[in-house]
Amino acid sequence: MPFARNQWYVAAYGEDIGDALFGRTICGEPILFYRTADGRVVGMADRCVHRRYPLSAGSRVGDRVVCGYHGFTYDPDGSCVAVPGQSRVPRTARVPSYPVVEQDSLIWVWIGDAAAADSAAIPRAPWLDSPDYTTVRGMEPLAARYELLVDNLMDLSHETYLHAGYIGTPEVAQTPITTETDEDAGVVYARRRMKDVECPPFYANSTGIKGRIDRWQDIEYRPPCLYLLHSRIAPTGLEPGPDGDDSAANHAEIVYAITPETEHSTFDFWMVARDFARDDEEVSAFLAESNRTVVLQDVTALNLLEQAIAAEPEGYQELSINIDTGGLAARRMLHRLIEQS
Amino acid sequence: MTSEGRVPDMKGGFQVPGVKRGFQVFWQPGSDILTGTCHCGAVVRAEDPIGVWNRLLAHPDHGPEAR
Ligand code: FES
Ligand SMILES: [Fe+2]
Ligand SMILES: [Zn+2]
Repeated sequence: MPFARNQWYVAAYGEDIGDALFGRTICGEPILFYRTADGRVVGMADRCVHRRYPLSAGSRVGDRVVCGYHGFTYDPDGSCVAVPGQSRVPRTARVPSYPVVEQDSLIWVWIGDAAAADSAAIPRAPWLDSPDYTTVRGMEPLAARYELLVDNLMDLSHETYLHAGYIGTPEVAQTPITTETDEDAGVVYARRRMKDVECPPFYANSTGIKGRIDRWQDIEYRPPCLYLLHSRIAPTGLEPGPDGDDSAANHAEIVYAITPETEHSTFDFWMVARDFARDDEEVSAFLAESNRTVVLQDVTALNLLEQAIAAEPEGYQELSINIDTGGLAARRMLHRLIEQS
Repeated sequence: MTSEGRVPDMKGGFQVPGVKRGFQVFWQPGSDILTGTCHCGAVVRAEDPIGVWNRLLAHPDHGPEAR
């Protein structure tokens, strides 16, 4: 499957990009990122116009990048300002630059026609740099096509099997699921609201709740890249107030950014932002370690699945059942974006 | 649990506010039936997710038993 172009993708976390040259392939396009002296993150093609040497293997002189092979020198907008051994710089000497926006602590890059980039269309994840939340996060490279991760995240019934003992409890596989789509905005929602259920270790250890809980899992997928799992954990019976105030409950905003690297590899960015035990470093360490473990369980399974699928002829047979309702909606939205691009 | 499934969430209609054009599918695990609701109010039932999406996406022609 090709990529949805003319879309924003998460390229990195804000803290990943500094003075150093940072090369990363997104949707098959090698891109160089770095932060200029004024703190802005820039992106340009990571291939020198001269002989295609990766610019990320070069060096910086001020805000400029010097190719590590023969010294072509580029401004942050990708235009070449100096070549070795001659004063004339060929007029076509420039590499494409990419629209880049830093928002909610994420570095977003626009893949497609740069003139069509609209930063207002970037989906938000405000918890990630909110002072009211504490976030732990990481990124695991996945040797699998990104659609497999979309399928995986849209169907949480796999928690009971693949993640037993972490986030899975038997109730997750028994609770009604309401899937909704917004056809105009291109969003898929899947909600699962559990009442009076067992608290999985992931939350028992981090919230300190001893008894049974009400647990909400409200998925919001904004294709192609951003997946939000709004998780609410409260002692059973504790409802939000009539004015919508829900500050007595615990909230974890679990965010994934699903960024294709190539057709068969994906960056699996995972983040857990919480509004409870915010200053407790043990809780941070525990949530980071547990979530990473869960993500790696998925990574192992999806890498295996990729190998199985890649070995099959195009158009392999699948069988969808009721648990796949949300995943099918997500696939349809993705296909629509690909057709439009 | 009945094979018809229950539709408790439908009381309030769509759960996500402000959606003009959209669909809802309700499923009670254990039930074989998926219940779909279109933004036009039509309700369809199917025994598999491909069937329920197809009938919803056929809007406004949701088929004979839609109500
Ligand atoms: S390849 Fe970059 S200067 Fe020659
Ligand atoms: Fe998983
Ligand atoms: Zn309809």
